[in-house]
Parts: sequence; structure tokens; C-alpha cells
Amino acid sequence: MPQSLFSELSLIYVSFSVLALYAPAVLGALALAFFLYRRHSRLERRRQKHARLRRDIAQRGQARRKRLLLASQRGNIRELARLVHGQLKTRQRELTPYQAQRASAFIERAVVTVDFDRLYALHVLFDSNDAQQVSPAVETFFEHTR
Amino acid sequence: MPLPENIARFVARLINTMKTESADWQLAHQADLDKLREEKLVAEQELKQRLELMEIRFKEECKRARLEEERQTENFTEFLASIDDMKANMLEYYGAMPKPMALMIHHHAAELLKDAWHNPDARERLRNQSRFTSLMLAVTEDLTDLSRDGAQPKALPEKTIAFMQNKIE
Repeated sequence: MPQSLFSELSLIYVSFSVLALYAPAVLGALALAFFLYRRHSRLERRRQKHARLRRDIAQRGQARRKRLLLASQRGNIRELARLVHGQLKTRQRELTPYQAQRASAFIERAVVTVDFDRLYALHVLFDSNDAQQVSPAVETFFEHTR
Repeated sequence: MPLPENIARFVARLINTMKTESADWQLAHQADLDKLREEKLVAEQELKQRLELMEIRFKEECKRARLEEERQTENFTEFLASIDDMKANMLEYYGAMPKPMALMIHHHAAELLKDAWHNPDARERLRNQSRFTSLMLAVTEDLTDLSRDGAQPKALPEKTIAFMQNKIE
């Protein structure tokens, strides 16, 4: 059937034309990769691998020290968070439910992000304001920390 | 004679000529080829030896680097422990000192330590190392003043607080 012969032939021609279009690009890419690989001698490649290994060792060491520091800082800020939580509980009646919930979430987030300075500021705020002042002070605090 | 046969003969003759030429050339340059082969073998041996030596040197270097990192981490852990001890001592010896203040001093020291070890700028690192040492010195002086006989006991570690407020460099 001429119709099916045409479609078969067109399929072959199209595939060959696609191959003819892309084959040089693929071959070029392969040649470039091979050239880049062979550009350095075996000694040079070994030296580069060694430099990479040294860098990895240093980075692993630094990452470990950072983790240790973070753990220490978290331990410290958790103690402050416990204190501020205590203050929040005693001051809960003087705050709106939204403010209390927001302060509680803020304390938890401060521990996660090790935001000591702002948590300390909240502690000072609870510590230095009396019953009437604490709610507006908390409102202002959260306006500033937004 | 049909055309394909002609082409076949031509191709066969061409291959034959090329083979003969190549054999003649190899025969004429046999000595050079042997020499080259020998030089290649020597070069391969040398490369192998150099790679082996390099491998040994690199393994040693990696081992040293790992040990150095371990040592640095140990030092760092000791510094962290000293900060924790400092906080505990402050809370123990200054009975009237509010706990958040001790926590603040701990945080300040930890931040200085972080910058002293991890700041990408070497000059900043050095500056923070010196500031960290000064802070720890101020803490030690405050604690020593407390235990000095005849001295009026202070309610707060004044030198440490002054240092943190940048009054003392």
C-alpha cells in the first residue's frame, strides 16, 4: 500500500535526519569530555583527587565543630527558654490569648534558630513591666520583631 | 572485465601496497622502534614508581590532616567545656546574679568562639580569638577577686559585664 510505504519511508528519513543533526553534537560533546579528561596527566589527576580529599577532611572537621557549638548554644538557650516559658505562664492572664500563643511560638522558634538576643529581650520585657503594661509591651515587641 | 571486479582488484592491490610499505618501513626503522619501545617501558616503570611514592605521601598527608582535625576538634570541645564551666562557676559563686545574665555571658562567649574559629576572614578570626581570650581572662579575674581575702564581695562579675559592654578591649 503506497500510503503505508510512504509513512515507513518518512519514518526512516526522519530518524536519519534527526541522527544526522544530533550525531555531530553528541560526538563533539564526547570528544570534549575526552579532551578534558586527557588534558591532565595521571599524576595531575591524582594530585587533584588528593586536594579534593584534603578539602573534604577539613570540611568534615569544621562541620563537626559547628555541630558541637550549635549543641552547646542550644543547651544554653533552652535554659533561657524554660525561664521565659515560666514567665509566660505567670503572665498569661495579663496577655491576650493570641499574644500568649504568639509568645510561646516565638520562644520555640528562638530555640531552633538560636536567636538568643531577642529571647533575652522578651525575658527583660516580662521582667520589667507590670500587669497593665505587659500586654502593650508584648504587642510592641512583636511589631518590632515582625 | 566487469566494473566490480576491477574495484575489488584495485582495493586488494591498495591494501597489499600499504602492507608492504608498512613492513618495509618497520624493517628500516627497527632499531628506532626497539629503542622507543624500551623507552616507553622505562617511562611506564618510572610513572608507576612515582605514582606509588605519591600514593604513600598522600596517604600520610591525609592521615596527618585527619589527626590535625581531631586535635582541633578536641581543643574546640575543651573551649566549649570551659564556657560551660564558666557559667556554672558564675552561678555558684555569685549567688545574687540572675541566671539569664549568666546565660547571656555564655552566649556571648560562644559567639566569640564561633567567630574565632569559623569566620572566613583571617584577620577577624584573629581579632575574635584575642577578644575571646580577654573575656575568659575577665571572668577569671572576677572569680579570683571573689576569693581574695579581705576584699568586699561583689554581687556581679563587673569586669566581665564591662567587657561585654565594650568598656574594656
